[in-house]
Amino acid sequence: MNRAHVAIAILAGSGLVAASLMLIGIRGNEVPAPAANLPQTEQLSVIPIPERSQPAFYYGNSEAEIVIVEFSDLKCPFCARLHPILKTLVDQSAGTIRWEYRHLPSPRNSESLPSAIASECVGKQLGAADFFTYLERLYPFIGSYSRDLYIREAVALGVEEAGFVECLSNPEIETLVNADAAAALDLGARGTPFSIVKHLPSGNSQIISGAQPIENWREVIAVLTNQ
Amino acid sequence: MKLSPAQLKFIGLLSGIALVVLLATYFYLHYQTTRVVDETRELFKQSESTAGEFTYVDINGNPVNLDDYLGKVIVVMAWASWSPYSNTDLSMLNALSGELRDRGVVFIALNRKDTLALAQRYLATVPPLPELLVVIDTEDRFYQTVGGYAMPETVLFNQRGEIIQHWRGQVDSDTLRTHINSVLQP
Repeated sequence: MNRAHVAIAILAGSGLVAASLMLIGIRGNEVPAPAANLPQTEQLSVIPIPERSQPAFYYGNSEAEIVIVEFSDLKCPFCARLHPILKTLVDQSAGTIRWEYRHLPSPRNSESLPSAIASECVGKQLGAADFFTYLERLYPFIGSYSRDLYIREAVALGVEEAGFVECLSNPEIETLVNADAAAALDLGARGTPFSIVKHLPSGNSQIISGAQPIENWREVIAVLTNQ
Repeated sequence: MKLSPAQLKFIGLLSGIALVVLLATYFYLHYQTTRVVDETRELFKQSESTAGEFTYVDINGNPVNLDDYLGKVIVVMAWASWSPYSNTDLSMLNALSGELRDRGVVFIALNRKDTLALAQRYLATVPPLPELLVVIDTEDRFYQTVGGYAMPETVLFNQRGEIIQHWRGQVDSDTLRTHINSVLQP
């Protein structure tokens, strides 16, 4: 092997490393589901649910004893994957689980914050049910978000367009979204989706990062409720 | 041609056997086409827990015998006070029930395990539902048994208690009507 071959090998290796780093950078704000099982009783702790200046939109029973607070980014594919999992979890719970949605937009994606604001604006006009429906309408377009899309899908759901457009540039909504993000970072969030599962009667809580399969959520809830 | 007594006896025996076979076939086919499948009968059967709580109760807490309705076309929609879809879905079901009132279709709005007080409070906030049989499933038996994983879940049974269609998530009035009509007019 001559020096030229060695140089080519080093260059090729460097290229592979660089490509890997670029890929990690592109997907950097998403936390894939870890393979390890989550439920570990020693991880139980009492994690405070951050206060919010306006009530978060939630799906499920307002009097549920289990609350899942999800910090999410509409541009995050893992969040899109988690969405139906949490909905099924709530639906099957017969009223024992409530799922609260909060925002953790990625600073690296230019449409993360605008899409979060758009969803808040829909919820503000139409309420929680349509807020969640709006998320489900946006996710199929996750690779091509735009202001026009936000407006089109919101109008299709029944929002009043002028009010919605005005809301999109409402600094109060942006502040609300950013406050969610700050609260998540304070809790140690390093990516999305980032969730707290809390058993309200006991205060037992656990953080779940990533789009875990539904079985893991059930196991965590069983541990928190001592079942 | 004159038949001998032995031949007459033989023909009589054959005719008797044929009659028995025909009757047995008739009753078997009749049974097969009218019996309600066992799983559905079991699903709709009322029971009482050791704490004295009935599985299916009306909005006043009185036991309801859902199996009384077996033999008819039945639509069951599972709802709950906490589901954001309940308001619109119950209203839709109520309207459709009124429309098909005279065609022997039973519409059951089956509440999933809300407490009686909570269900009553919720129903006070929605338009009246005079066309629906509102029932509380105190054990969430129906939803669990049919393998529910969404909200609402709506199940259409034919007269034999067979599940003809199972919708997971919201179903619109036109779709529901079309499938009910297909069961009523096979």
